[in-house]
Amino acid sequence: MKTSELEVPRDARPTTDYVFRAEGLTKTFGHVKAIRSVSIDLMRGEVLALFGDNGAGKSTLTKMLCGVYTPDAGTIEIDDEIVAMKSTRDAEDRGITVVHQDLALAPDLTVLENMFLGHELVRGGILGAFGFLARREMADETARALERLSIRLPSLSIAVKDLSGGQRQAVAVARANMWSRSGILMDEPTAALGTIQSDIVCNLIRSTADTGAGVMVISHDIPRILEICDRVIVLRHGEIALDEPIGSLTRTDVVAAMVGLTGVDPENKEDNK
Amino acid sequence: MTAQIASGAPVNAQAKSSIFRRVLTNNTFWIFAIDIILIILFTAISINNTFISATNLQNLMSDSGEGLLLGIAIAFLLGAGEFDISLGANLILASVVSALLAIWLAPYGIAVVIVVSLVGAIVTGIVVGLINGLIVTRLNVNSLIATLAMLGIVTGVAYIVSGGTDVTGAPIALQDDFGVKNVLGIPLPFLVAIVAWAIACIALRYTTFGLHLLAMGSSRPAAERAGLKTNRKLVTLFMVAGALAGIAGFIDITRFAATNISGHTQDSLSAITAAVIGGTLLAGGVVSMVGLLGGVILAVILANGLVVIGVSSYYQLIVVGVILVIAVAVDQLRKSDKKVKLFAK
Amino acid sequence: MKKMPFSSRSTLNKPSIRRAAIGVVAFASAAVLLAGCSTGTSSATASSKIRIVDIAALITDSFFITGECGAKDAAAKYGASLTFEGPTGNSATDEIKAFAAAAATDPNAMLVAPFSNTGFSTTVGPLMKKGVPVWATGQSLTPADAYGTTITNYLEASKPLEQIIGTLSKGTGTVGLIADTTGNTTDSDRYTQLVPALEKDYPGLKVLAPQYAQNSTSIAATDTAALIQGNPNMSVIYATSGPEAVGAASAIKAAGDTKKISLVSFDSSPDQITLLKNGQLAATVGQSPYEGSYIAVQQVIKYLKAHPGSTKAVPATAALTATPTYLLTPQNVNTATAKKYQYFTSCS
Repeated sequence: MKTSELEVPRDARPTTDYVFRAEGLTKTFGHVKAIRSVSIDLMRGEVLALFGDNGAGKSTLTKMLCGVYTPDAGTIEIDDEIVAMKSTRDAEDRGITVVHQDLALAPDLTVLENMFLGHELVRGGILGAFGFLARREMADETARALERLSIRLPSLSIAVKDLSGGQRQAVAVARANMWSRSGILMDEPTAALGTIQSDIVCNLIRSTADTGAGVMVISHDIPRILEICDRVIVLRHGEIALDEPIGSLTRTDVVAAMVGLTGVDPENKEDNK
Repeated sequence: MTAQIASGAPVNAQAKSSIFRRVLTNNTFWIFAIDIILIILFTAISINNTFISATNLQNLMSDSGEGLLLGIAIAFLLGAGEFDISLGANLILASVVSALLAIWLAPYGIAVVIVVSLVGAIVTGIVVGLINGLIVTRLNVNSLIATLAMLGIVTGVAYIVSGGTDVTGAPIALQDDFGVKNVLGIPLPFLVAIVAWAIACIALRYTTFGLHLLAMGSSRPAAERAGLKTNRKLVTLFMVAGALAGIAGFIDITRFAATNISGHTQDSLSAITAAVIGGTLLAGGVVSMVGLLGGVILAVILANGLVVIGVSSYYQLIVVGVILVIAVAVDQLRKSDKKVKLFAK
Repeated sequence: MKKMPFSSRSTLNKPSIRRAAIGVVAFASAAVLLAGCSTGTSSATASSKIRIVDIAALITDSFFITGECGAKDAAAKYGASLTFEGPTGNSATDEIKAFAAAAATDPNAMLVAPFSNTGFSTTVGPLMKKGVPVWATGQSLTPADAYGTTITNYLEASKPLEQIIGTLSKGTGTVGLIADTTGNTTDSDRYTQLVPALEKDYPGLKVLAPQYAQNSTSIAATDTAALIQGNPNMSVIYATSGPEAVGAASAIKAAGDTKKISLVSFDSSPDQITLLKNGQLAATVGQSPYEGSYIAVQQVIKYLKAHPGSTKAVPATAALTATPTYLLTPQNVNTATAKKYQYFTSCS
């Protein structure tokens, strides 16, 4: 049985100021060039929004960045090293964790159990050899992780299926934050949520980045994400159509880039803010 | 396993206050309530209240040993979202191997016979479980179908190994020194089963084995994304189930000093029934070991009690059916009451 | 229809020719099939070898295996081939299916040891009508479609048990009954007359209604233990078959020596013989499955030789040919006579 040691990710001093740095990523499926020579990087402590219409290549790009797909061409650099990731597990080992749209939580398990699933702490000595769980330590660690992100849950020993959608998303984010050393990729974090819960999750994304992690958010919820992100990348037909700091970017600018009306129109900026 | 939360996470008030409500909505409570009602009923009706006598309690314990072992196996598998209906066949094959070993080793004394035939039965069970697991994980065959196929294959192998009929001539000492032996008034076969049950409870609740098992049953993709090697764990699980069936097979020959290759056809189904009545979900992710014990006890007290109080065979079938419906209906009642919304910020 | 010799066929009317032709073709194809399927033995001419299929209720049971041995020995003696098949679990429907499947291979004759009396009529009737004799062993068919039946007269065979039970119980107490299945006269005949006779001759005895253990040792053990518990004055348990006796013996042993409960049973499987020798079984009625099947093969071969190539309906009869039984006890179990009534687990 696998034993995992107590990791406190935030304490680790970053060796680089970026989470990953990808150059010239290309992926082709048959005749379809899904991603054409895309260069993208994610900095620590920033929220990077990745927008794009359906089929623009967001999910293909994300899957290359978390080890699900291998790029046909291009490189991904993490910690000053060109890496070849073959699975999400590899990506996790490199410090990048993904929060999937369907959350990837086990609904019948408790918050605590989900937080540590696959990374359980076991007791010392002979009990540990038999895989006995160190629940007290895991509970303390979970409480701290939730506290750090100001997440409030009714109990840690409540089954995830008894939580609301927003709370589940919060647990998923907290889980990713706890196990990623440097970066979190989030796929549509607000897709299934109501207004208030979406706002809560967005605040959570911001506070996650404020703890020092780099967060890349893939979303269709443009206005809400624009509120919290530091930088925006828009994909169109597998290429980058826009890559700018948030500055004075508006929803119109993003949509314009998504549909191919390139360039920023200064005239409309104030109206759409 | 109540988590101590340092700060910022208030424990839900509702979860804490209504213990009464929680008890009433607890499946395990209901199954034992039915058990106790039946025990009181049978005791009251039976001549001299003999149903609750020490000897009958020993009967009940003897009768529940094999069912409990198979029930643990099925509860584990259901918890992980899998099935095994080859357990009865596995039991038969293990008992045949065990009986042949016992006959062969009879001259070496009862200690050797017990140890070797028990080990032989367990190893046989594990091998069958391993094959089940490999079919399910490597060939990607649904476990219901895979174990249905194995049910036939294993039964066939058992017939071939036994020469097509019950193995006869197992040393009678196996029965005298194990099968009908009481230790501190408890039948040895039951003692074996209850120890296995206790270990299973602890493993399920306090170890990564149990946690991963439930995670796989609750959401296979979530378990995989969390990095669990689910295929390997499932194979292990099928092997554990096989080992339990093997122990049950050993107990079977010790109780009767003979194999019963045409019996046990309903064993897997009975085990599934006991587990599900006890609150283990067919869909996976939720296992109730205490409920399983209640379910096994229910089956055993019905089989014994109805005969003790002299209900005729045909009415027994009806009564058993009615009680089954009541047990499941009570469970539905519990579920409808479960709309306890715990989200309130 | 009158039986016609081959030579006079040309004089027959058209339908008869066709029927005869079908018969010849069927026979020939059966012969070809036989030649194709049979291994090892090279019969001089395929048509000379009679092919018999024997379907038993539970081929893992020593009673039926012993029957198989008798059938095979008889077949070998008369130069016929015999195939033994049947279900491995307690299932009347599976046996009916196996019988129908075997019938579809056009054997010259069939033997059946039915699990239940009914259910075979749709297959047995047509077979008999087209000239294939079907013989029942160990159980009669309802309706009586078979060419003949060899069977233990269970009603008679169980009579010696009356006195044994009377003696063992000293005429007082309760008698528990562990039967096999309901709706099976081979089983129920073992107690339907015995019970009233016991009640009449031993007014001090109370005989309980049967518990059905379905050939399962564990169900038999559960039922026996519960019966002992529910009836403090239990004196004798009567198990109507092998696994029932094994299960009951285990339960009686577990109940301990404080209760003096005797066990009697029907059949003489190797396990039951062991119980007799250990003194756990006071008496058991041994049947003659070997002889029953031996006679069956003899009779169908006799018929086929007397009516070569006939497609005429085989006459059915409800008449039963009784096979002998013997009461085995710990005292006589090792005698030569008693040995003839003990079942085997394989043919030597």
